[in-house]
Amino acid sequence: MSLAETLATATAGPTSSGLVGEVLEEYGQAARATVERYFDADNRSPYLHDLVVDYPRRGGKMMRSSLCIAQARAYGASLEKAVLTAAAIEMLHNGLLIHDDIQDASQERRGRPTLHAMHGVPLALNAGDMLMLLALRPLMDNVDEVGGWLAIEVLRETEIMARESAEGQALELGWRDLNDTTVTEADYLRMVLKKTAWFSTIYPARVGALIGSRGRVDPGVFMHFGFFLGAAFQIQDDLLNLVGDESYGKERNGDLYEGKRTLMLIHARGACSAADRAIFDALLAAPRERRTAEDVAWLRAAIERHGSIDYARKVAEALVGAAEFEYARLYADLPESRDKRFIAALIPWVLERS
Amino acid sequence: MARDDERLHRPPPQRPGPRRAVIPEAEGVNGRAVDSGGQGSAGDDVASRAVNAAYRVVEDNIQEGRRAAERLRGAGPAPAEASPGARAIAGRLMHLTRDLGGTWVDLILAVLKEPEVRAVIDRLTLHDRGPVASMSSAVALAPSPAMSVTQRVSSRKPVEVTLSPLPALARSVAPAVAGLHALSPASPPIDQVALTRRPDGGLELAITIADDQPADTYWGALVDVDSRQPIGTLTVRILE
Amino acid sequence: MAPRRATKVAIIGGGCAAITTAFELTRPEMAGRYDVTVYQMGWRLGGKGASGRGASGRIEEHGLHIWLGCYDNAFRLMRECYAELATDPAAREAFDWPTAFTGENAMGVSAPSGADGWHNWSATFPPRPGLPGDPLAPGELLSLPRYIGRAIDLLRTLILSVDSRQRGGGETRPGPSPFSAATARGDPQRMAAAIADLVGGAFAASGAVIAEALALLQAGLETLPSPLSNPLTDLAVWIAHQLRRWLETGVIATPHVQHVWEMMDIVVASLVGILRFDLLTDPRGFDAIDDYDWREWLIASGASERAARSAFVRGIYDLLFGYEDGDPTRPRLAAGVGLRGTLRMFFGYRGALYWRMRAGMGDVVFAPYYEVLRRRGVKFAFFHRLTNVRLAEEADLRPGERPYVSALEFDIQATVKDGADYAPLVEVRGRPCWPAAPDFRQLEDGEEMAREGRDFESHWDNRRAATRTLQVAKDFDFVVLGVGLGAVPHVCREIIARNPRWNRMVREVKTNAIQAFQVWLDHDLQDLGWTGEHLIGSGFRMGFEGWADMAHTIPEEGWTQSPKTVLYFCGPLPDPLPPVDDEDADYPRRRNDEVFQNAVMRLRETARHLWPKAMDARGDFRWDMLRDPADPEDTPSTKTGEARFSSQYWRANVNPTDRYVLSTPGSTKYRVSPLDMTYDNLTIAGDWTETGLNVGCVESAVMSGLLAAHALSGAPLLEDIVGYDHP
Repeated sequence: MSLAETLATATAGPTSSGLVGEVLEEYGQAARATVERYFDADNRSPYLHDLVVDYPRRGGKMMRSSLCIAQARAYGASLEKAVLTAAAIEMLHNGLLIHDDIQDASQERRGRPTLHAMHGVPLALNAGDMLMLLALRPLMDNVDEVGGWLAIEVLRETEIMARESAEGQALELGWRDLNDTTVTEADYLRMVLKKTAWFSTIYPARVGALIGSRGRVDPGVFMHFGFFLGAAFQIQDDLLNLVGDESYGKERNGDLYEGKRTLMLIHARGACSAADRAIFDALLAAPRERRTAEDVAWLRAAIERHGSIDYARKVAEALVGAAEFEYARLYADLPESRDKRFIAALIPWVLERS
Repeated sequence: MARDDERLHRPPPQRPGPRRAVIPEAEGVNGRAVDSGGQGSAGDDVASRAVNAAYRVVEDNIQEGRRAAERLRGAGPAPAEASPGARAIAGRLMHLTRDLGGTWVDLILAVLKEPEVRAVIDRLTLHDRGPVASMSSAVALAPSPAMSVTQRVSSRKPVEVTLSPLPALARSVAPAVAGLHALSPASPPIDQVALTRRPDGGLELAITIADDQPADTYWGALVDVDSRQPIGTLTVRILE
Repeated sequence: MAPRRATKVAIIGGGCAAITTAFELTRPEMAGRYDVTVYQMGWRLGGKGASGRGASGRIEEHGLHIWLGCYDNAFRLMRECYAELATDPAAREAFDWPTAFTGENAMGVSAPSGADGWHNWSATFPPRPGLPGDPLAPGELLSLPRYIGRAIDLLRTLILSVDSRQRGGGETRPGPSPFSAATARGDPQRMAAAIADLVGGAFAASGAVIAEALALLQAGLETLPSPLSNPLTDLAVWIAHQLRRWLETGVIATPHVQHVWEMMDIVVASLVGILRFDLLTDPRGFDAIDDYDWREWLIASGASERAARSAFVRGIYDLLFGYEDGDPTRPRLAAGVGLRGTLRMFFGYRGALYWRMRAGMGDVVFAPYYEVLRRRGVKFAFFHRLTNVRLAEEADLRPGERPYVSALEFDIQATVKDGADYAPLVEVRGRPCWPAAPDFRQLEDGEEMAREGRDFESHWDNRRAATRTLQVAKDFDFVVLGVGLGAVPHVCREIIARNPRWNRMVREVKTNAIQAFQVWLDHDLQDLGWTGEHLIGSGFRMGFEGWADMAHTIPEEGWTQSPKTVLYFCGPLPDPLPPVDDEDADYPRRRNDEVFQNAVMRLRETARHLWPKAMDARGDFRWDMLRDPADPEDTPSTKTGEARFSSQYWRANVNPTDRYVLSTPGSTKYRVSPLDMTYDNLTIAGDWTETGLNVGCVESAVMSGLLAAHALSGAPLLEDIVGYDHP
């Protein structure tokens, strides 16, 4: 079945975003429930337990865990086999969010104050550590569910992903905090691959396929597909930060306040005249606390003036196209299933969501 | 002769032959970027440049990952270098060798471990120690003290005792035997059987046989009380 | 668009393959899309599986037919056929499924032992859940772990059944035991002495050491995976070696246990060979080793000489008549076929290992199919013998047009009086059966033909009443060639002349003639001193390697006073040198006489090894036991001695279309598939084609019939042919 047909089927029933929403809801629920099982309600460590359970209970799209489950099921495994790994993904994700929020000095997360805003950085940091280490438990419990060897493979994958994510995060933070002005588009893509795509799409696809195929599929084949999907996802995220409506998770223009090197920023800087570029660099050189609303407004205007938002949108669409191409090659021989359709529908969804 | 359009033609079959490959190929792609033509939409330039850049980035990352894996593993170059297809096959072969090797070992072990099977093999070899008419004799069945078993058989009749332990017996903390039974209903079970640990780690087997115990062959399984795994069999033949 | 007329399909042949195609094309779901006519030489369907009823309604077969429990396609279709008949109240009583096939679990082999002796070994295979032809869960059939798991179960059962029969206190007298090693001397004391000779303590210690080493290996294998050239793999190979040595020196002295370990050796060698030859990753699957002989390949995969020469391996060759030119000193079997076949046969069976039919194969299989097909509107043209498949002239083909069959030429051997349809079945004990000879009364000039001794099934009897030529588009649209391979060079001369692939196929894919006989006895096997558990066996190098006790068919025959048993024998029949001439009309008679002599000799020389009491005081076979259907029941027999054998049944299956198809090394690649698209309107069906199984048997023929149906109609889907997509 060609991708067009797959998508047509996906949209024939519930709409494409309907299918995605449905599956995210179902698998998200399963992952969430599994995560809850690991929160030991009988041992509510003071200053820790309540912080640890906070972010996971705030909800979220559950895209990463759902992708993992759908991938495993598309390759033939049952929900039970994949749900532990999906839970681990959610725990890791939320732990990383806690740390991200500290690193970005964000005030708000999913409509409520960030954890460190409520409890201070030291305790929030500790809770983030705990949450990430807690993810080891379901990964160890995998031994019973998928066998020792596969459990080890999943752990290996997790280690690789953790390293890539840390390296990616380092790039992003380093560029921002040390004001690297030489960041190119290729650098940006590389950073997004490591920081976002590896964790959000590549890793769930890889471990899902490992579990589903019982180790027969080479996880490496998902690199391209995973990257294109994850990069489009990230670019859309960055776009929403500039143009999204208020229901979106972070503050409007928050990235500009942060000085985050987004595709739009890089593009705008590259398109600027030499004079403007100097202003650009000066504005970005200032530490975050000294960045004013006017500074941000200027950056915003520069971005709009040079059509950077449209540019980034086009790049994201191109990446979606590339993801569709890779999807068609990867999944052609898999039997038809709702999960396969879901994965196909995810590709345009990453851009459609608002 | 019929004209082509008058004749019916066979439909082509689904495929020309059987699919013999055991491992279905989840088609790994070499994933080389399609040149500009692929993404065909307005803003082709932007799109194709971005996609090309993206392909280069991910390919680099894959290479990086491989080199890191080699360094971390400390071994030589990964089995099949360049093409992901060959590497995938090498990986699968490795898994299968492991699976098959392990399963074949399971086959041998499973068979050898079955107490009934061990009993058969041992019966075929007929350890012949001669009748034991009186109180006790110390019989070392294997070199290590942990494996040595002292027999104390109390019986007026000639008796032949065979203990066939599995290696697990040496490690078992709590071996036990639950009585010895014969096949014939006319022969009542021998209940006074006990297996205890000696201070030096060996075992002592104590059997008491009643004067009127019928001549027959009695069997019992040795079980480890904690793990409930069979660890050997005990056979007692009363010769007259 | 005007409704199309139904597509006319001419199916030539009435054996398993042809009948399967007819069954598929006329399924109710096809809604009459195909208008099928079956063209059959002679008076009965069945091909090599045809059977007839002779004097006293006795069943007369071509040879010995058993259906293995792994014949998933054949059984599925057979059950569907019976189910369809069950809906017709008139047919229900005559055709009831549950007793048509009975499952059996013991098979035996006789192997030489000592200077002159033979010993008989039988193996009982555990019954498995389900029935053959039950739907399979996805992944159930083909996974290697599943095969291995079943190997373990099987082995455990086999070993335990050794012991289960040897209880009884201090005595070691083997009773009727699956592993009774009744040698020619039949001496249990000797057996006990042999056992006692085994080295005791060393034996147990080595076993314990090896078990401990294996435990270490297993623990080692459970840790993190490592690169291919792992010392653990080397350790595994070393242990295998030690294990073999231990088994050979310690255990194998005991004949009955020996056979179990030989089987295990073969299983282990098969698994090692699968890895060593990369069969799991080779797109050709097991076909990749088809150039090797099976025994040769097993040894190359590490099997011991002893196991490769074992009675078990020998038995498989016997089962498949795998002897080149029928010569028992030249066993030849393609290794891929052997491997696939043994895996499916021993680890893929459901219910019982094999199944026997309650009556003749014609009665149990082809009569129901005939009835179902007739009810569905299939037409049968008996007495039609194909003489030529005519191709369209090459010069007449337009560019891009594929070659096609333009006409089919037949001899009409006999015409039915008044242009009626021939009614082929007779009734014996309330069941419709095929007679051993045609009903001449229905035929024009029938009495004269009977007097002349017309043999409508003989290749050498060319007499005919008329000829007939069918034209493409007018009389047929598609052709299914379902004749036996031996007939192909005679009837497809044009194709073979023009098509190099077919040319090679008929030269490289070999066949054997088969000889067979049946004896009805007034004593059953127990009376005759048979102590084995099995009712089917093979062995002995005196021709007729395969034998079977078919006492269960006697109630179906028409005796007023029944004999106690009937024994079937069959085996390959070597071809004469120089090769026989088509004009040599006397050939069949000469070969039949030869089979008569062979049969007498077989009974005289070798029956004693299986049934000691079948011999008289002078050491000759007790010919007086043979039941002559012509004898009035209560008067003593008139003939004496071996002349009594002439009342029994024997046959030389020398007709080309009756020859059994072999799977010799190197021949598989020359088989042509029913899916082959060379000819626009022709497909082939038969166990000689590329069926997936590629071996001569009912299941292979049925699979080819399904493929032929797919080739013409697209149905069934290839994935639905069980075992087609199999390594």
